[in-house]
Amino acid sequence: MNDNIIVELADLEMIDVNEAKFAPEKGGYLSLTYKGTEYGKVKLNRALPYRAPDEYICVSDKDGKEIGILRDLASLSEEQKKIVSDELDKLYYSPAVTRILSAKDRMGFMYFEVETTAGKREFAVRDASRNIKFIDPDRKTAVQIRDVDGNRYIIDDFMKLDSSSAKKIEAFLI
Amino acid sequence: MNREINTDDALYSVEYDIDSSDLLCSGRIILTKDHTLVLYADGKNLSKEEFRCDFNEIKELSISSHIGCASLEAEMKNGDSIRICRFTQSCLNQVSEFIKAANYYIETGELTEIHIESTVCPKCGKHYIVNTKICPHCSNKVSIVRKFFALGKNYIPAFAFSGLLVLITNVINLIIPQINRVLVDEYLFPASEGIEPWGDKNPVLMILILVLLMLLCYVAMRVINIIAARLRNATSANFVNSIRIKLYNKIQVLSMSSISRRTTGDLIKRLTEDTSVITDFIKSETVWIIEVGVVFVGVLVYFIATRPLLTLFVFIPVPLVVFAAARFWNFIHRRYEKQWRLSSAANGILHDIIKGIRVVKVFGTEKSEIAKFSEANRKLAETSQKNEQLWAILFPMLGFIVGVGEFLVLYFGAQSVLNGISPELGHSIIGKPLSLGEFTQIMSYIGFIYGPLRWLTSLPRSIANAVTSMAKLNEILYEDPDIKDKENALTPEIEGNISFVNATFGYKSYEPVLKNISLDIKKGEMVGLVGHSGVGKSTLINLIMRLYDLNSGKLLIDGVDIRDISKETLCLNIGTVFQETFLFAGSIYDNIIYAKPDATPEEVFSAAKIANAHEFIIRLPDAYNTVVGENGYSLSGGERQRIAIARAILRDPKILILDEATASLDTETESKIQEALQRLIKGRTTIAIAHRLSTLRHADRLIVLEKGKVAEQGTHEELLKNKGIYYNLVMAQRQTTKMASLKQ
Repeated sequence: MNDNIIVELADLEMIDVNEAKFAPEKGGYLSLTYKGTEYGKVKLNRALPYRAPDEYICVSDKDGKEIGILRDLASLSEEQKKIVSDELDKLYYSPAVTRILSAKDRMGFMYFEVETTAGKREFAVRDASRNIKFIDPDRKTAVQIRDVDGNRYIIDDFMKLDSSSAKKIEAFLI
Repeated sequence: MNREINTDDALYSVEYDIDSSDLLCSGRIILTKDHTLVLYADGKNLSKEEFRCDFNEIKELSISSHIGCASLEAEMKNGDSIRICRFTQSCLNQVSEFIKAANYYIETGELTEIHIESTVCPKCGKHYIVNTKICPHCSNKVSIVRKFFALGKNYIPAFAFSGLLVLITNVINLIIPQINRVLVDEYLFPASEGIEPWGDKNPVLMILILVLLMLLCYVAMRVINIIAARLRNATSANFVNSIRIKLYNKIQVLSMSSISRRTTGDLIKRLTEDTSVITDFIKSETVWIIEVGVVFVGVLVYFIATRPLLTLFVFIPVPLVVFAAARFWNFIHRRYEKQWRLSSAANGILHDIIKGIRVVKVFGTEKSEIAKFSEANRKLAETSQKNEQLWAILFPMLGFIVGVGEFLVLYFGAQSVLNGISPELGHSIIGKPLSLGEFTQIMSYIGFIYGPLRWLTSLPRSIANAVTSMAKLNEILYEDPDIKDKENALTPEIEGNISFVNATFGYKSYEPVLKNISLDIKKGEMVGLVGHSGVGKSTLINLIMRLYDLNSGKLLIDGVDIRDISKETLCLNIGTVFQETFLFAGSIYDNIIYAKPDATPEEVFSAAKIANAHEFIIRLPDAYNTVVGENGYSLSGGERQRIAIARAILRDPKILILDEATASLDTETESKIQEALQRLIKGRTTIAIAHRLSTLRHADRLIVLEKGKVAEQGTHEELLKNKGIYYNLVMAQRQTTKMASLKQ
């Protein structure tokens, strides 16, 4: 399939979507039936959370052993895709900031009041130039903000932000 | 059925903040007295119930952390698991305290106090700085400055005195134009008009007196200024020095957990940059503040008293100038900040490349590294060029606005003077015509005011910077160390018995690394810790060294709780050799004696001899005086390790900890060191960690850790017979060794 010797040696298990069936499980978890085996409480991890959040999803069993890698969510049926992305949404919480209402600098802490897709939120950012940044060279205009608690917020496209919001964080972005 | 629940009926009640439809909420998790676990998405009205279950059905609650959030999960008695709710990191502390208490309640039926250390300011609800009660949002500048200077009370009188001196020089400065005025009005002007109002006084003598008076003022000013500046420099240097020492001491006192929260760079920045920002502020800005204060008040009083109308001309542009300049500063400041960040990014790339130059050369990626650096530099150049252009346009404009007032006064003042000389010439709209002397006095006063105005506009910024630095320093200086000696800490003779009693510990309290461990290590025993990586071996020894405190349970040294023993006693009695040896810049001798500064040379040589280090050290050209560390003589891994061992044993510690002490060495060197260690461990409690199991073959007992618990214990032979985890580990290693030898 692949003539690269390295890929051959590593023998990555790329999940064959025709043999995989994800299903919600009792208690709010996700299960996977793959090649005839049923795995309960499977875990999903994005391999490239910034560059390609919907591709290369590692699926592992409840003990953390990798079952395989899901190449691309787009290759799943609509129904399967929804099940998997619902689970991903539960594991990766990063409300998208749609407007920045206020930004105040106090003793090296930036206090923000923002509107996000998940509602209004206030939070503080320490060391703003390190914690407000473009997330990946491949997604040039997506910005991530991390607050003092370790919560994450994303701005999907900085260029599309209204100008008063953009001005408030522009100076921190390099 | 949705029965009303009052929070008063709750055994425990904490917040959560993500509702079932992924939106942020302010929800409440409540465990009621009648054992119902119930969640409301709207915690204020206790409405929007999201979950309800019988608490008696729950076996254990736990948290699993995700990215940007975590979930509260329950393992039920019937074997099912349930994800109860999710919450952001902001609720993590609360919820983990809740599950600790709830699990304890399930286990024992006893209630415990939920101890949620408030991490938010009660005034504004915003975050405190971690481990302090400082709220950057609420703390006002005055209180920060006061708190900061409270650290150096002794220096305040000196500061106050130098301030007073500055005040005096400025008052003198205001007197000079007054003398000048007398000179002009009483002698020079009348003389030029051919009038002689001085009667029989000798005008030349009077002028001489006035000039001498002015000279005296100048000399006094300069002398006082020199004294004040010297005093100020000395005091601020001493003060900041004392802060630096306090800071350094504090960093040494703080526990590993609070040190590791910060980066090394961050701590060094606090020590160097923030302290120098403050020194500069004290040295220069405070002088300006006093100076401007005196000049403004003095001149204002003079104008109001003599020429109220003129005051208007002089002071009307002031607010305008201040406003314009403040806006200007804000604008330009942001841009310069960006430029500064770009420059530090470019520097960062440079650092990185030079540090990793070997990797770059090996992979032949010089070109792309050059491209990366030039791109960063190009951005920097672009931004700084733009900034300079902007500055070049805006700054002269600002200067012009500042000068407008001056021109107004010049125009109306000069007219008034003309009017005074001859009523047909010009109008004096400012009341009684000005004399020439008065006019020159006014012009010099205006110079006094407008000069510092430009500076005044940048004052808020530099105050803010200094206060920010002070706040950052306060943050460390006022941090409560979480591991500290009790007031009457004991200093017992340590024998080396170690016991863990139901000990639980995790670097994050909701993720225990060691779970409920009970373990006895007798004095003089050599114990080997075995287990997969990440199982908690190093954590266990970190606890014995008291780099961290247990979350629950006890750790006893000779039957005494480790928290009751003074840190110094503990340190004196524990010797440690790590896998990565850190040698300080200095001689080998300094590095060994580091453990016991009062050791005699004989003791140092003996320690080195026991550690099998003496022979190689003596063969070095500079022997024990060989300088090692950065920029020093480069020793091999084995040599460094043996120096570390010498350092560890110089103290003759009762407890010896070897954390992969020989892991990075080849087998021959290892056996040399092993031989050294064998001599050393006699009569000492030794705890050794090693992946290479052969290293531990001399151990009296092996302790196998698995999933945070003690899985197996016994001698090498006993454990092999058991055919458990240890057996498998040994077999796996033999396999690899065999493979390795086959390949050769």
